[in-house]
Amino acid sequence: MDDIVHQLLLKFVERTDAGAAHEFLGSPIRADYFRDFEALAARQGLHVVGDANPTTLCDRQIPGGALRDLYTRTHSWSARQELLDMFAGVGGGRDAMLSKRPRSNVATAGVTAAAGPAAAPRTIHASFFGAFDRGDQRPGELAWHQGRALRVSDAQAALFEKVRAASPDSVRVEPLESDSAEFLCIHGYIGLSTRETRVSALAGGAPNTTPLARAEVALALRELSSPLGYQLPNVPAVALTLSLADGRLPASALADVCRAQWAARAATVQAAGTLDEPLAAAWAKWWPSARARDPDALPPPSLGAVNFEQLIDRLGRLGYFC
Amino acid sequence: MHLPRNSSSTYDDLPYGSSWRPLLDVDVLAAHPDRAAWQHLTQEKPPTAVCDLACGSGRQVLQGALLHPHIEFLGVDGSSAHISEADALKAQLGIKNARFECADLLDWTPEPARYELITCVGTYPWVPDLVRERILKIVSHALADDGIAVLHILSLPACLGLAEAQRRMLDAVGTAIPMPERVRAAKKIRVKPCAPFDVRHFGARRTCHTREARDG
Repeated sequence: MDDIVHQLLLKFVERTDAGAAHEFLGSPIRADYFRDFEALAARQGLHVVGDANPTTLCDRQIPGGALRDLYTRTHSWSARQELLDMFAGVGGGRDAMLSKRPRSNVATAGVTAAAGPAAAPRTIHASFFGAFDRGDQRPGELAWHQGRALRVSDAQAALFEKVRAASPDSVRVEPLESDSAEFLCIHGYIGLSTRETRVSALAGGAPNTTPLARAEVALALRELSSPLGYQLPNVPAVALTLSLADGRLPASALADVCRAQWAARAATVQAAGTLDEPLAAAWAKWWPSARARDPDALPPPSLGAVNFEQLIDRLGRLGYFC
Repeated sequence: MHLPRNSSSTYDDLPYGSSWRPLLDVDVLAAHPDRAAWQHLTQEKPPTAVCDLACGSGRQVLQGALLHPHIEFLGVDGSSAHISEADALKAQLGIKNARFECADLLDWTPEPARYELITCVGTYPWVPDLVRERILKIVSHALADDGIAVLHILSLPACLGLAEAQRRMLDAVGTAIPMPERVRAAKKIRVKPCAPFDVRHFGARRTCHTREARDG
């Protein structure tokens, strides 16, 4: 970790960008997450009516289908952000629009704006998303029509075929950060990503991409976020939401996958006797093997068992299905 | 960049850069799909007053003033260094429809319902809860009834990638010393050599934050 820190440090302090130094070495450090933002604004008589990015983002990333419907129907600004965050996966900022008027005053306009791309998703896809071209696929690669390819193992290619089987028309692949294909989207509902990507990115290596089903993406994100000290219960929750919205990946099956993965992880960690160790020490143990890309390296759990039924229930209470 | 109380010297020691964000231009906002939310920003009823909270060295304000000579712009920032730079640039450009105030947002009270557009970028996630609440109060107080405020916030998980590294740096250098010394101390951290870091990943998550800091 020290070398990673050093590299990051150099990028900040060995250049003349005072802003960067402030952001990384400034005080106080603050965390922010949009989940609480609506409530904070409401206390001051303000309404979060929109975002300078999301409608545009949504048009591009979720041009149509059940997820777009979900996005359009939800009246929760925070829920919209979470949905977008899962798909965008890039950047770190949103520009929230505050008004003294409630959102209902602009709901119609928002839906109208959303209806255009939703009505012609293929056009949007064609102009923005790279199309996965099976004809160009060579062993060990997932190719895009633009001549770019993801290098994958046979096992990963097989997993991709499973993903495609679950969603027969999911033939679109788009790296959301051009060359750093950290978070990929197939057809808006089934994600391709890699649990090594963030690790390799932090370690300075070229990002590897491994196709994973959405559930695994969620778990991968969580696994990689956990050593950083975060707990992101919303990530698998949103994954479940997406699967529910899509309908082609039954939530029960997704939950089963998650349960199995968490059970395996818990068993491994328990066998290693790390459950009672301080979390930091546990992560310190895990990090070298993760950096070495040991496929058996499982990070210690930070949240314990996940009750997906509760998560689904919670999502309902949060208005995800309104 | 607004500052938490008693830390303005941090930004006076090492002024924070500022830039123009086209996204926040009045015309761009007026073309936003949710534009019905702020009728004042339409061509039929253009705004008359715009306020940028924590304006830094005022690039957003000055650019806006140049583009919209009929709108009065106000920039507020807690750093005297920032405001001095903004005023100097304003004078060089001969801009008449912009002004700047050096004030701590905790103490600053604007005219009520004065501004059809209020912007606050690169600030909200970085300040204590007290200042956050104050920013929202100012917006509520100063925003015209049909106005709109644009408040930049940060989100997870996209921006969490560098949080651990940030925490470790701060653990190493501390935050009690002035920023220039903090930077110098950071450079002295002894670490092992490693492969080059891919700056593209760095740039995408430059503005990361720690949840534990908020909760703690």
